Parts: sequence; structure tokens; C-alpha cells
Amino acid sequence: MTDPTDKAEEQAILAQATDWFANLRSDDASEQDWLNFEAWLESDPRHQAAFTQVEALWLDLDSNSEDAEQTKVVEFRPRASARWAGVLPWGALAAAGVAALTFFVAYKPIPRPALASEQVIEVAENESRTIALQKGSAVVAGGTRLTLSADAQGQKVQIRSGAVTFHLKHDPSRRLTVLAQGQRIIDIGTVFTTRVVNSSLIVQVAEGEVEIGPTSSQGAALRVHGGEALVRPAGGAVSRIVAADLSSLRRPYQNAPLAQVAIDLSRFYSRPIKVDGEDAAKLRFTGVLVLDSEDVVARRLETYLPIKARFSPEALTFAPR
Amino acid sequence: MSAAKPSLTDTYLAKRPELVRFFSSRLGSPSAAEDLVQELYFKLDKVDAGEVRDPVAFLYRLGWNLMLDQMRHRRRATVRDQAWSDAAVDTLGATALDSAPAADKVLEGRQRLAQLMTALEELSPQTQRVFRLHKFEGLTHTETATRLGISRSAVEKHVSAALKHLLARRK
Repeated sequence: MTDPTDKAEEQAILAQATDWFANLRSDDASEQDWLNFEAWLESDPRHQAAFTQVEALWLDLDSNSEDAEQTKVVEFRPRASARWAGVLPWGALAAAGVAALTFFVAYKPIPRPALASEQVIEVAENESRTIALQKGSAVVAGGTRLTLSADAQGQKVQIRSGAVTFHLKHDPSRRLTVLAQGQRIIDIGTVFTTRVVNSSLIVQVAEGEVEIGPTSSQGAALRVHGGEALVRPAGGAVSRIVAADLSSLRRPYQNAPLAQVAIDLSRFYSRPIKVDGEDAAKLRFTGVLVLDSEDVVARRLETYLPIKARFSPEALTFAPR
Repeated sequence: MSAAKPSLTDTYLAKRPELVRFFSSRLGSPSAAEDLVQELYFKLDKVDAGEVRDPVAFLYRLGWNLMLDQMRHRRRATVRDQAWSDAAVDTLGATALDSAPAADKVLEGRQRLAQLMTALEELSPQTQRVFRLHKFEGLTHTETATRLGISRSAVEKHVSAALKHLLARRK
């Protein structure tokens, strides 16, 4: 039996939590209010639990609009989407995923190509290329090698190395399969990037969802949703990450010009990384970079080289200090 | 003569440690808090600083909204794929992957919502109006107050009353 005084106290705490919630949602909340709130939260572990309950209720009520959002039809514009995927900071992908449960419904019928001619695409280190696909388009990053083929089931993209960002319409009548490192990725109308770096596979989904499973078996597949990423080290187990964390990856550089470091790093982050000025481009870097957040990596390079990082929504630029 | 108002970015940089501390305790994870506060930085670009009355409160609020967005997103993912926990990193053996949609969870969510919507109708018409405008139509407290011709503190009281009622009926 619960002690009635405990019960009453619990109710009182929940009422306080609710008052805090309403207060902090108002436009009048001040810095002092937030500090008082923090003090209240920390004064009793039950406070935090009660406040979390109010938040859970708030989110329960959201499912009201969720169904409507999922069926909303928007026009798919490859350019706009390309910007989205390219511009958003890695950490914001989670937020992007929330807004991205929208699917394109209309499509222009494209005649199915005749069977199985294989096309090899190689993109030089310092350029990138956009290729047209039956279901949309793909941006192929520098240093990528891939094979494009088609059969009765649809198009196949086999990525040998490098990074490719796909912008695909939702169209159940055709299928695009991406093959990389023994894994098979099937899109379900989406924007996602697939990278193969030193035999590790990284799949980062910006919008929609994809299904990933081993090529060898038909069964077990994992769905990765917008805002999530998946990392599979060479030959290892798959791990799913939320607002992705690449810090398990390390990039070694031996006397590499900054321009080259920037090109290499660009493959891992959603914004391109640029170098301003020829002198800065020629600076050389030797060391190992742990791929934390863009910001942390930029700070690390700043400590080694006479450069300053500048962040903008379009790019991260290194300029001479 | 007044000194130039510090930019939102300046305020952010000055208050960053406090924000990280606050969200570490809210999220139960310093690294998740770091990520969130970092993400906050990128949001500042889009903000018209002239509109912000209390920049520090604004940063807390923006961070809180981000946190709720993340929770919302995670819930949706969980409904479709219950196999993974709230942990930031979830390692799954390559053979043990299962993505069967959790149909029962979807149903559960719908039922809970239907229950809440019924409970909402038990409130006074004015409380319902305030709550619907703020929660479902996304009006701020100030906008809701203007729309209904009441004070902002009245809006706050109605929101709190509605939440208390819904919490009691949610059990």
C-alpha cells in the first residue's frame, strides 16, 4: 500500500512541474526563471521525473498532427533537397528528419532501360558529379568509384569507395539498390548518403528511411530513419547512431596540404569544407584527426595551423589567421 | 550612450557552459548535452536577434525545443522499430536485426491520444480554446492572449490547468 502522504506529495510535485512547464512555455520566462527552474529540478530527484512526465504528455498530444504530417504531399525538388542535405550541420540532421517524413507521390514515367549494361563511374579527388537515376539523382563526391547497372528489378549502384548522396522519389514501382561492403541498402523514398572509407561503411539518412541488410541473406534487415546514421566497421557489427557520432573514426595525414585535408574531411560532414587563399591551401598538416563534430575538428586544426575556421550555413572555411 | 547590445552568438559563447550543465542534467548525458548545445549554435543563424528580449532565456528555450524535437523523433522511430533503446548508441549484431513495425505500439499511441482528446473536452470552453490554440495551432502565449483578449498570465494558468487535468486522466 502506498502511504497517502506520499501520494499527496507526489501530486503536489506533479502540480509544481506542470506550473513550471506552463511558465517556461510562456514568452515571459526570464533568465532568472530558468535558473530557478534548474534549482527546483536539482533540489529533488522526483522533480526531474515529474517534469519528464509532463513532457511525455506534451509529446503524446503531438501524435495528433503526426498522421496528417506523414501523408502530406510535397513536390520533390532535387536541388532544394540537395541543399538541405548539404547545408545542414551533421547534428541538425535529427531535426531535419522530423520534418522530412514527406513523400513525393507523382512521378514522371521513365522508360525502363534495356537489361544490364554496366557503367563504371569514377570521380577525380577534387571534383564532384551529379548523376541521373531512374528514381531521382545522386551527388557523387570526389574520389568515388562506383558501378551502375540495371536489371528487371531496377537500378543497382555498387559503391567501391567514396561517398554518394542519393535524392530519391518515393516510387514503390521501381527499386534502387545500393551495394557496399557486403551490405544491401534499399531506399524507401529518401535522401541519404553512403560512404565507404577504408572498408568501413557509413550510411547517413537525412530524410525518409532506408532498409539495410547483408547482401548474402534475404531476411534480416534494419530500417534507418531520417536523422539517423549507421556505421559498420570493416567486417564488424552494425551500429546505429542517432545524431551521428563519427568519433570512432580517425583520419591520419602525413605532410598533407590543407587543401587535400579539406577535401578529405568534406566527405564526412554535411557541409563542404573549403580553404580560403592559396597560401593557406599549401599549409601542410601531419597528424591524426578524430572525427568528432565539425566544430571540434575545426578547433583542432586551428591549434596546429595558423588558420581560423569560419562557419556559415553553406560551408566551413579555413582562412589564414 | 549605451554599449552595443551583445549578439546572440556572444551570449551563447558566454553561457555555453551553463547550457551544457543544464542539459547534461536534463538528458542524463554530458555528451548528448554537448551535441544539443552544439546544434543550438547552428540554429542561431536563423534568428532575428532584434526580436529577442531576454537572450539567455531564449537560448534555454531554444535548447529545450530542440530536446523535445529529438524526443519526438526518437518516439516515432521507436514506434516503427522498438528494437533499440533510448541510448545514443545501440549496437546490434548483424544477424539479430529485426525491423518488424510495432503495430501494438502504434495502436497504443492512438488509444492514448483518443483518451486525452476526450479528457480535453471535459475542460471549460475557455481553457479548451486556450490549450488548443497554443498546443495544436502553435500560437505562442502572447499570440493566444491577443487572439482571445485575455492576459498572458491567464493563458499560462489555462495551459497549466489543462495539463493538470490531462495528466490526471492519463493514468
